Amino acid sequence: MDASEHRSGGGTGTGTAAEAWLQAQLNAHADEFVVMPPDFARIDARHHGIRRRRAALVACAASVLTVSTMMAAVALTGGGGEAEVTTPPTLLVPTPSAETAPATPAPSTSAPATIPSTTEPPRPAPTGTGGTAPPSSGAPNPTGTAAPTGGTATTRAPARPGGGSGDPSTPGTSGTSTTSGGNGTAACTDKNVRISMSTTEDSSNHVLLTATNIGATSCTLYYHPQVVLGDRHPTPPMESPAKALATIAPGQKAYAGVRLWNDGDTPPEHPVKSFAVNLQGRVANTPAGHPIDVQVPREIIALDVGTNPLSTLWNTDVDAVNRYLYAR
Amino acid sequence: MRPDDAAAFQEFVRSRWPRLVRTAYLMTGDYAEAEDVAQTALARAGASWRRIQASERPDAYVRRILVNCNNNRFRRKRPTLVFGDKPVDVPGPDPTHRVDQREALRDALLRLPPRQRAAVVLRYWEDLPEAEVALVMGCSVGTVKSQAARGLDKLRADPALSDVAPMDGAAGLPPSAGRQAQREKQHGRV
Repeated sequence: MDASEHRSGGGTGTGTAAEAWLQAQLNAHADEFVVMPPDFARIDARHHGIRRRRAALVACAASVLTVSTMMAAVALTGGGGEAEVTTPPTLLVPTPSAETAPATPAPSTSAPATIPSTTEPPRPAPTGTGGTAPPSSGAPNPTGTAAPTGGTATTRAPARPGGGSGDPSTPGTSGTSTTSGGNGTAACTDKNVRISMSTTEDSSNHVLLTATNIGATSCTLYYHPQVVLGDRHPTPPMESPAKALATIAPGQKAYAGVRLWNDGDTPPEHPVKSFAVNLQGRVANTPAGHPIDVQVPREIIALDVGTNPLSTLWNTDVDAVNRYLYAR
Repeated sequence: MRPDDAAAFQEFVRSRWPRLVRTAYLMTGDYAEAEDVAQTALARAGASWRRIQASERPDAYVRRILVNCNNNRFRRKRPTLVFGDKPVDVPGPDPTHRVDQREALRDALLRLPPRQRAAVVLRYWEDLPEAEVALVMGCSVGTVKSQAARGLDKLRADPALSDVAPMDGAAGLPPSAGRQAQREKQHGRV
């Protein structure tokens, strides 16, 4: 063992003979070779490469902002058209434990009145951001994002990693979002968010996660929830790389869907009765707080999980999540 | 990175490197892969060093990156998992049976599912409390317990290790027999 090694130690206490045996085996196995010194130059080169890629991502986001501004300008001068909104095929019912959620989109079976929104303003917006204000409001729009004519013009949230595509099938990347959403707010953690799950009788393959802000300030759910189901890896996002965020004020909710298995997956050996949800920070794949344990409701008993479960990005619009989830 | 931060990061790398490589070796079964995974984890840590340094548990943070890097490696290379270079042996006498035993343990570890392997390594080699393993793996404490217990059972039941693994009780039952029967009963299998 190298003298400079760091030992954390003291965790197991080796309760049984089997544990003591395994610990001795692992210690003997791992200590039987000499570790070469670290290659500082290579580590430095690699972490500088990571920083360069991050800088490039920021530059990309800035260019998206520029394009968004131009689109807003076109919309304000009469170029905006009526947005097309499709009716979701099937909808999950959010958890019945909903308390007051003043600005949360109501979970209904009808098509949403607005284009799905990735971000919501931390405070009620005075100017119809999100295209929901009546056309006659006439108030100046400090954010410059909502159109005064019918609320149909949209812009993409700036500084969002990867930007928005406008495709309703990608929750969190489409629709009317404000420039303030998500920016400057802290990431939601296990301290200020409660997560519950629900399913629908129509499908045993889809789970809806509902995150409720139980804190006193707004927070942002970045990217997608990394759900650990049994011995599976944390769920990756569906298809597109993680690039969305959802800001929720106190009492508000955000949603994400989980697809548990795909056709051709091998049957699960151990049905899952609880799972952990890992929230992400501003930087993708970095943890925000501790894992949040979610118990499967008794009436559901357990979830069958395939070999490659996936989760959608967080979104404040439950209809958008359902539409995306059930299309897969 | 500021000079102070760079110096602190270098010191962190120097002190943690051997331990991280050994942990990665137990997870990958390959020395070169282990070095690469440890290097990747530290490079990612270096890219966010100020935040990690300010956190309460920089070691847990880096271990988590390490586990994630290993998961990514597994995803990429699952179909072509090859047991590569052997580690550099310490000079000196090394009885043949000991080498065999080491390789048997390495192969048995590699036969575990990756998350079970991670739970076993973090719990019994890193000697971390279950709560910290849960934090590193991003799962619940209950999952850590079950994963570590299943991993232990599988290792004890592995034919390559059956000669050296302790048996359960006086009856001498195979290690996992009782637990497996209990699981099958729970799931209604006959």
